[in-house]
Amino acid sequence: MTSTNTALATALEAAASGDARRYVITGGPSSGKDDLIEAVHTAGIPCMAEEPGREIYRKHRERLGRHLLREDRRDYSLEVLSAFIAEYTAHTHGIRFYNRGIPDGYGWEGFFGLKPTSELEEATRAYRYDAIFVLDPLDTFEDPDDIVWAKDREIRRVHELIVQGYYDAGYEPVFVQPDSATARLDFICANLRLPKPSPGV
Amino acid sequence: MSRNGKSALLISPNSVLANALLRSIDLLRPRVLAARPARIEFVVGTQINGAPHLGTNLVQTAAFLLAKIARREFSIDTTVRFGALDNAPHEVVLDPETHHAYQQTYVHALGKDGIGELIEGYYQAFFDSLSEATDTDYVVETYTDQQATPGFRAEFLRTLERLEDIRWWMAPSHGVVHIRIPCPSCGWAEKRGDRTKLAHLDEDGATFTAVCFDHGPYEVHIDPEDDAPYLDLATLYRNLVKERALGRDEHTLHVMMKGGDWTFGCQLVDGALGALATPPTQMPSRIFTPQVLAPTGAKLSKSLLRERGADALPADVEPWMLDTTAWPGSVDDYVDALVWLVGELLTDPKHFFRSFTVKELGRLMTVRPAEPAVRAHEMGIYKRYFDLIATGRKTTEIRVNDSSRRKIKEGSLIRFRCQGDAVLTRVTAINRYASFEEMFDHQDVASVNPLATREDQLANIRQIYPPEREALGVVAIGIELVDPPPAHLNRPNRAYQGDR
Repeated sequence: MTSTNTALATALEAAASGDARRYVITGGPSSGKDDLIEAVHTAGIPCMAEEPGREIYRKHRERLGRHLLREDRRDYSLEVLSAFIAEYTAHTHGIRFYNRGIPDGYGWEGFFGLKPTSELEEATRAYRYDAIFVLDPLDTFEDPDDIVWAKDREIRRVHELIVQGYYDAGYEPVFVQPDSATARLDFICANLRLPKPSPGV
Repeated sequence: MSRNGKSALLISPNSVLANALLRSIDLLRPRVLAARPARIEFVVGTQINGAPHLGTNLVQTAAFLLAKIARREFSIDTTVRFGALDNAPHEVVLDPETHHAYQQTYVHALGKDGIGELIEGYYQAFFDSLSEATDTDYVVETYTDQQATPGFRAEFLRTLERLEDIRWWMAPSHGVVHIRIPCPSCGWAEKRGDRTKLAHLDEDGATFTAVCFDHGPYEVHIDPEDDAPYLDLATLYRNLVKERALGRDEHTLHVMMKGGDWTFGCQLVDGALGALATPPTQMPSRIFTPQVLAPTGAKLSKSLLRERGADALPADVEPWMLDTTAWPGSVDDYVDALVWLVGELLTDPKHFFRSFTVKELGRLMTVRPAEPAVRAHEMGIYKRYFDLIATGRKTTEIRVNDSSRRKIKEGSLIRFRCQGDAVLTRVTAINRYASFEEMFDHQDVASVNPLATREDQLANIRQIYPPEREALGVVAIGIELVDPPPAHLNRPNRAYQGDR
């Protein structure tokens, strides 16, 4: 897709022949990531479509005939890692956003009580991103009725483990506060010194 | 000292609102005068996900008591509508793939029969007792029933047409409005609607796409003509749609009864109602009831109990305050105590439009009358008739047959009240007629008023009841004194004093 914003389109085009610039958008569940990725696409910025883990999960689930359990995670994680590496290496020039990145694996492995694989550690060292944007959750994960579900606490934990994973991998993420997807993308672009995609800004 | 010279039970500083009101019920007067509704319905919604706490029962009691007061004050029939929010989350799980939270509502987990049992277990006896104590009918409507009505669905679809205008009101922090449409195969829905998207909207309805953690992607269509699929709206959005739908009723004024903590959320709902260009006459009428506060000033919440255990409760919080089923007495006893308490709060707007700590409520409850209240239907009456009843000379009382009279049976007790005096009577007979004329054809005129002719009585009674009230029918209630007349009232009738 081509950007509808002329200044942004010009900037993207100018960057297209230069070195590869890879930017990760990540965050825990209910952080508004899907909406933001959609906004990135709408703005005409090159971006990974769906995080590869979802398609791979569906394939494994179909094979197993059930949801994955802890003991199934290792094979699944390695396959997801391969997909992330393929995505990474396929991109050689210009700007590209990523729907999660390789170090997300630390968070998910940690959540399931698994140690990071040597493959993950090696890939983390070899394939470095240029910036990490962590989306703060859009919810407090509390019920208006004052019920706090254990499962909702797990969501918060997933988020925190993902963030920790990036720190452990040597990154300093930029946190994107809750807002509309358009405003968040403007914030991200401003951080990257790119023209803001939203009209009239 | 209070206004009437008695020692004050409650001391409340004046407030902006209290300064504008002499009586709490006057908050409704502008709307009642402008809309002239045929009926007023006090709407109170409650999550049914566990035993109620004091705050919940306080709102409900206020609804019944205000219904009783409004009926007398405005001569308009009143009822209570209890909205049982059976869409409260019963269970939450995480999608093993994405870790998005999915929830199953109470109705999806327990079924309609299970919901019926919950309502019966937690509320039926309480409401029946409140209904009897306040002479006020009530109906129960579950959220499941409500969302299935064409009116609710049509209103929801209208909001979708203006989603861009309301979304920041419904979600001011990020503008993302959550709509839950459970999977038609299993009933589970994304708790925060992350992947639930409005795919299409036209005059035939709205099509949503969503993803079930078990059944994958699905598509559903919301159409006002169809009561399925299930539409589960988050709190503020549900209130917006409900209040918009009820506001369209030209005959009934719906008064939303809400705990005081709702005031802030309602500002957002009002913003959305404004963005939808809701006409002033259709804006919701709301009454916020006193908040029950823990010693820290925080809202009394079961999370106090849930998170820290019963041992960690502040000393001021009695167990029944968090779980009212633990009240050490009968349901009637509990209801009488609450009716007394809320009645005291309603004696002055300064007391009603404020919050109370559990300690203060505990103090009030200990000073309530030790004598158990004698349950009786209550009727205000003009002084000249009150004196006739109190001296045993008036043995037939005439009223229009509104909902509060339909429960009166032979043997029922009626307490007549006038200027701070009360007289307790027992019903000896009940006869219903189409009009006052027909009633006087059958009743002994002197038993209604020994001092006036039939013509005079007809003229007097029609000054009290306009034709639309007489159209409800007429009930002639035979009465006798329960106790002998007090000595100071046992004297010839005094001149008409012109007030109740």
